[in-house]
Amino acid sequence: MTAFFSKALPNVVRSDAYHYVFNAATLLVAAVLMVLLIETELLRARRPDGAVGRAWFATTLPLALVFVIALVVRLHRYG
Amino acid sequence: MTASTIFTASKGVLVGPRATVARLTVCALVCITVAEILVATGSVVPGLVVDALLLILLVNAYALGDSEESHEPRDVLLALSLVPLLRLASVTLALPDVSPVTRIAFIGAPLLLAVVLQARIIGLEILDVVIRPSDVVIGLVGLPVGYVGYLILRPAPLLASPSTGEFLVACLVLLIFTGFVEEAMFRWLILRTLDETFVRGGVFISSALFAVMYLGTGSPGFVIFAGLAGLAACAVVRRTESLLGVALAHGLASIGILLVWPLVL
Repeated sequence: MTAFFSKALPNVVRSDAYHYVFNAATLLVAAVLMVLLIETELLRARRPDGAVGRAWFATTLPLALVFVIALVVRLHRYG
Repeated sequence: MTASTIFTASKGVLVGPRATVARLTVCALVCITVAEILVATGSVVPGLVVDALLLILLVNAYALGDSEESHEPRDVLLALSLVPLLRLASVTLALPDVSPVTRIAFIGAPLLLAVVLQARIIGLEILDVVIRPSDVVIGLVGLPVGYVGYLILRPAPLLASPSTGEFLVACLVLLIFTGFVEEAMFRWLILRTLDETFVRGGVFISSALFAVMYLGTGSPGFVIFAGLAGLAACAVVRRTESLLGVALAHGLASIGILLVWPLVL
């Protein structure tokens, strides 16, 4: 599905709307990252067994990787 | 865990914590379907907003559940968070100026990391990692499956005129990041955790979810094809207790659909 996906959006990817979608998606990832990081700090004490930290770590780390790749490629391609 | 908290076979209903998790799971499946329909019909940003909210809700529901009860029923909520994560990564990294093969690797790498981290948290046992002859046989089924998939979808080739090196790299990327990662998501993490809540229904829910994720192809035939392939893969994983065969089959099918058949036919 990751391989087929870009073919589902030919009109978006090849049009001027692409940058709007790209920016919105990157901002959304950043927003989710911030929410998860803030929640981790606020709610860590609620679960002394560390479940909160572990669950959010498993989500924030991959999301952070998505954000960094998107940012690096964007800076590299579009300055 | 008491008898009242598990699936009561006599009445065919779920009670206790599992019922709560089951309701949340059904809500998540509906949200994922809505998000995929939005994305597939061009309303990409609203679809991503649904995915982003769902991702936060699923992780919260998993992490903030009652600490006194077993983790098992709630594990499915964490595993399902991989699906909105996949779609967010797919769109964010659907970079038009980057080669399609690199793009697939960019999308797959964070997902592979998420799969590994979640499997460690959930405490899933690693399925058999030794390639057996049966895995190779199962994997080779991916060749005709890929041919049928190509006939249904008829996509443009991933690489127009690849050199031998580019072709081999593309094959490796498809094997790892579509074959192994997606099978690990749907036939390992999601199926195993769904089984904890829905028992036998996990196979059908996992396969339906797998099919929904192909709505973006815009081909109803291919969505049905993906659902049936998912069902078969679930059955094989349950029978063999090995992920490698279906991962190889998925990878070979992707290679056929996206690399080989578009150039040959």
